[in-house]
Amino acid sequence: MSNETRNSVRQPGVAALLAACDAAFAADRADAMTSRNGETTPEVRE
Amino acid sequence: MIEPGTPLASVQAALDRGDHDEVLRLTDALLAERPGDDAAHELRARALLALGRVDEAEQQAADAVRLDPDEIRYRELMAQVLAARGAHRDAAVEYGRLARNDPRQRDWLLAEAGERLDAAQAGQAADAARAAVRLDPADAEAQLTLAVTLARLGDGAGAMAAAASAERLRPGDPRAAEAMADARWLQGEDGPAFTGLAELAARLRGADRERVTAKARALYRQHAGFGGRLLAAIPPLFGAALRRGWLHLA
Repeated sequence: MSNETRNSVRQPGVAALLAACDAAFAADRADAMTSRNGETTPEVRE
Repeated sequence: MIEPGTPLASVQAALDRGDHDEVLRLTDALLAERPGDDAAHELRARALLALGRVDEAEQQAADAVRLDPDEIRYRELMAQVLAARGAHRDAAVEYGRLARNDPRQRDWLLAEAGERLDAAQAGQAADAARAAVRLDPADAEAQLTLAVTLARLGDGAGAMAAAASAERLRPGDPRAAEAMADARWLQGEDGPAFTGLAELAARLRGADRERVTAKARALYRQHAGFGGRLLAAIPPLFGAALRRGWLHLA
């Protein structure tokens, strides 16, 4: 963890609540992956 | 690129049309004839992954990587397989390696950030997202990912700045609006945060609606009196009232 990141922790209680909600009701994973790796359609090399 | 009419072209065509059993049948024959065919291992791994046979997919992906360690596509496939079997930390390491070695590092950085979040490594997730933002501050997806990772760390101010950038770059995006609501809550701006979550609950469907409603309930309970807590204890009733705009924070 960088110093910048380590120094930024301020609201762990609310952050934990948010994380619990995010974990319980995850967004559509397929959409997220498409968004991350939109150019990953497999191509076959000969 | 593959030439039409070759055995691998048939495998690719089967994969493209989602006929995974056919991919397995064809690659069985192909690998019996040409055991060191890395592309056949790759396609077999993709079919196995699609069928949910993750352990076998990992073995095939590992074979492809072993046969051609420099092929970025095989490394990405391995990261996807690792993520699929819940090894988010290992997947993040793989994406991190790709980010360092590939010119499309923005994609890998964002993928690494996602896997780090799933692996409960929010600090390293934020570092990866921050590196993606440095590559292009006008990248809405990178700003959004940074906002989410900083919110996970409890950094409301940082999350708000990144969410504001994401909203500016992608007006009306519900994920950016949710990131902004999260950041406002972290900053103690509970009223605007609740209003934002209520608006999202009315717009969204499915798991996304349930998620923002759960956040709104948690926030509401922090402020509610006895009657409000009673309402919050009945999720369907709370959700309906939230979506109709009947609820406000005192």
